[in-house]
Amino acid sequence: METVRVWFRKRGKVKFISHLDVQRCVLRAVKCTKIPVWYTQGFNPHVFITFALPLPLGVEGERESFDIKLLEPQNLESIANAMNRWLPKGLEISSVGNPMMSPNLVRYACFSIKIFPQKTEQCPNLNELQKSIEDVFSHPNLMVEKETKSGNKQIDLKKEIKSHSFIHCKEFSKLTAIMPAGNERNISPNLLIKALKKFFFFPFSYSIVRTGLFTEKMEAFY
Amino acid sequence: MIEQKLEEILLEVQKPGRYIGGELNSIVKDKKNIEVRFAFCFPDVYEVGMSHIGMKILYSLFNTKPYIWCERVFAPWIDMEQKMRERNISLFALESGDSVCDFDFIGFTIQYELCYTNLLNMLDLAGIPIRSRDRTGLRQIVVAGGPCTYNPEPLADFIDIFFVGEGEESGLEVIELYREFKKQNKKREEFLLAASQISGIYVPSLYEIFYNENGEISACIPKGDAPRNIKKRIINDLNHAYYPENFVVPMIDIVHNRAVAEIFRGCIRGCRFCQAGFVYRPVREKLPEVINKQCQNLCSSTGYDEISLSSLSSSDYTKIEPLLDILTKWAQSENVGISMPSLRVDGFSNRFMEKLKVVKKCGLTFAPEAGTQRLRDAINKNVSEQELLKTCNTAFSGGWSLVKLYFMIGLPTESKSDIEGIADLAQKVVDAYYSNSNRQKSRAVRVTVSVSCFIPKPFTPFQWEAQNSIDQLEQKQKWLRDAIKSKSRNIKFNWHDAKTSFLEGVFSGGDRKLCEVLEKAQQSGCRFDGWSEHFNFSKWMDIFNQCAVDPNFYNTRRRDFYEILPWEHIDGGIKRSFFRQECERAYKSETTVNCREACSACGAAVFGGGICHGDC
Ligand code: SF4
Repeated sequence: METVRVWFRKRGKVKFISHLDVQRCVLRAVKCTKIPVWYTQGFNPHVFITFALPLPLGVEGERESFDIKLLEPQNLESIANAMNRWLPKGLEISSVGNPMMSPNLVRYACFSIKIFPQKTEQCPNLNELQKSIEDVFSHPNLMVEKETKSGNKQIDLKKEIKSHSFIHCKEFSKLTAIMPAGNERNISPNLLIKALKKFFFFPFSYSIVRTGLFTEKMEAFY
Repeated sequence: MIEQKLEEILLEVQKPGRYIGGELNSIVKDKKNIEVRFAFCFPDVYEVGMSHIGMKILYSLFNTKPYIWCERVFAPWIDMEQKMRERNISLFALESGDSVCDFDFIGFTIQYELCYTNLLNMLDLAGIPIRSRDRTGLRQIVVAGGPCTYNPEPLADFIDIFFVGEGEESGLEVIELYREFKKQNKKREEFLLAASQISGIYVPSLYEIFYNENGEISACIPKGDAPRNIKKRIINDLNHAYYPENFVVPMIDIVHNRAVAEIFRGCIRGCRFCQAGFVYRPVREKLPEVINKQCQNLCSSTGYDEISLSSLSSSDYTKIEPLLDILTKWAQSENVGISMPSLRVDGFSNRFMEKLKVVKKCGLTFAPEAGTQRLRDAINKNVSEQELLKTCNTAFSGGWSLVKLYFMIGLPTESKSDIEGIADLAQKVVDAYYSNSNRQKSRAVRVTVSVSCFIPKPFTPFQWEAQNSIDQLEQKQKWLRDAIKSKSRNIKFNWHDAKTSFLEGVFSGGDRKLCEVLEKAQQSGCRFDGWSEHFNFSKWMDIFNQCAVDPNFYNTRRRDFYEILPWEHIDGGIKRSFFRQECERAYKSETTVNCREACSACGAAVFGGGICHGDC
C-alpha cells in the first residue's frame, strides 16, 4: 500500500462549496476512476482520505492537497488525468506525488487578497485606496471579534499576521498576508476582511486565494 | 458583468453552492450550434429540485438533441432573491449564467400546489410577463408538466402550454414544432394553435370557461381546432424508453443524494385518496436486466455509492428478487448500497429481508393511512392489522427497532373511533416489539406516528369529497394527541399543519378564478408556501378577501356527481364512472381488488400497454 499526496486547485465559483462538499466530490471522483484505493474497514466502509487543511468557504486554493492510499502501484500522472475527468468545474488536480511532510507540521498559510472598491459615490481613487489600506496596517493594533466555541472574543490581528505586503493596481489592491494555520491555531482570512470593513469608508468586494501552506520555519508544505 | 455582481452577493448568502452550476455531468454547449434554448425550472430550492427524477430524465433527454440546449434553474432562496432584486440580477440558468428571459422555452415541473407562487415569482425575477397574454413574439414560451397539471386551471392564465402525462415524447414534439415555426418566422399564436394539435398538449388560452351563478362551471368551450378533451400521454414500453446514462452530481448535499433507478411506473393499488395511484396508471414494469444496466451506468458515471429503487410501491415489483440478485452481485464488491424508499407491509417477507440485509439497511416505514380496518377498507388501503404486526415482528427479529407509521386524518366517513384507532395501532406495534423474544434486547422501540390531512384530489374517487375545515382538523389532531398521550412513551407524534393543507386543498380543486389570487399573492410577497417558516396564512386569507373569492368553495364543499369539474376537459384515461363507483363503494366500506388480482376495467386499458394488456 502506498500513500500518495494529490495536489489540487479550487478556483472560480467552486470556492462557494464547503470543505465537506469538496470531500464528497473527490470521493466520488476517486470512485469513478476505479483506481484501487484502500477503504476504511467496518460497518460502513468508505475510501480512506485525509485533507491537509480545509479551505474556508468562499476562498480559492492554489495548492491544496489530500492523501489517499493506493492498493497497487500506479502511474501517478495518470491518476491526475483520470480524476480530472470526474471533478466539477474549478476543482482540478495539478499533480500527484509522494508525501514528504506530515500535515501536522503546518503552521502558516499564505493568502492573497484582492480588494475592489465598489463603483459607488464613495468609490476611492487609487491613492485613497492605497492610503486606506496602508493606514489600517499602520495602526498599533487591529482588533476584531472572533467567534469561538466558547463565545466571541476580541483578537488583535496585528499580532496574528506574521507578515504582509501590498501591490496596488489600477482596478484593485492586492494584499498578501501570512497567517497562522494548521491544527494548533487558525486565523481565517475572513477576519481580516471583517477588520477592513470596519476601517474603510467605502464598500468593496474582494477575492481571497490561499496560495500555500508553510511550516514553523516557513518551509513550504509538500 | 453579471459574474462580478453575482460573486459579490454569493459571499453574502446562505449556501451559495446552490447558485454556481459547474457540477459533474452538467451540460455546457456552444451557443453557436443551438436553435432552441430550454430553461428547465423547478419552483423550489436547488436541494429539492435536484432530487427530482423527472427533471433528470427530461434534462438529459432534451440535451441528446444537438440543436437543443436545456439548462437548469431553481428558485433562489429568500435571501438570494432579495440580493438579486437589489442588484438587478435577473434569474439565470445554472449552465450558461444567461438570463432566463432570453430562452425560447421556460419549462416548469410542478410537483405540489404550494409552489405556485414560486413559479410566478421565478417568471417575475426573470423579467418575463407573468400572464401569457402579455407575452409576445415567438419566444418565452412558458410550459409546465408534472402531477399538478392534471388540474391545470389555477395556473391557466400564466402557462402557455401544459404537458399532460409523461412528457418525454410530447416534450420533444413541441420543441421540434417550435424549431420549424421559428425557421419559418411564424407567429406565437400560430405556434400555440399547432401545438394544441399534438396529443397530450393543453393550451389553456384556447379554451373558454363559462360559469353558473352559483360559481360552478357551466361549460368549457375550445376555440378553433383545439381538441375538446386532452388525453394524457404515456410511454408504453419502458424497457426501450430513454433513461439517462448519468446524472448531474450536485456538489452541495441535497435531499436525495444518490443514483435513482425507476423500476416501474404506475401502481396496481387503487387507494381512493391517492392521485398518483390513478394518474400514473397503468402499471408498466421494466425488466431487471434493463434496470441493472441503468444502475451500472449511473454508478460508474456519478461515483454515487447508493442506488435507490424508485416507484410508487417498490415491493409490488414482480421481479424484485431477481433484480436484487443481479444488483447485489456487483453492488457489494463496489461498496454500493441499495435502498427502497417505499415498502409495503405485505411486501416485507422474511426472504426479502435477507436480501435487504445484504444491501443497506433503510428505515422501516409503513403507511396504513387509517387507524381501523373499517376505514382502511373505505379508502381501499388493503392492509390488515395482522399483516402489519407480522411484518413488524419479522423486522424486529431482524434487528430493526425504529418504525414509522403514516396516517391521514379527515378522510371521508371517518369518526372519532377511527382517530383513536391510530393510537391503538401504534401501541400494538410497541407491544409486538416487547413480546418478540428475538428483538435487539438492548434497544428501546421507537414508533413515529406521522399524520397528514386528507385533501380531495382531482382524478381520484374522492375528487367530489369535502375537505375537513381547519377547526375540524385541529380538533382531530387534538383527539389523537390526547389518545397518544395515554399510550407508551415510545410513540412519537408528528402532524401536518392544517392551514397549509387547507390552502393545498383550495388549489388542487381550484379553477381559473384563482389565477387572480395567485397573481396577487406573488405581488404581496408570498413565496415558499410549502416551507412553514414562510407560510403566511392570514396574508392568504386577506388576498382571497380582496379578490372576493371564497376559498371554501373549492375544498370544504362536497361536490355533486353531476357538477362539471374544473379539470373535466383533461382526460387521464380513467373513466368518470369508475371513480364514481369507487366513491360509492367507499361509503359501503367495500374494497376493490388490485390490478394484479383482477382488472376492474377502470379505463386505463385505452393506452394499449402495461398491466391491462398483460405486459408485466
Ligand atoms: S384497466 Fe384494469 S388492469 Fe388496467 S389499470 Fe385499470 S384496473 Fe388496472
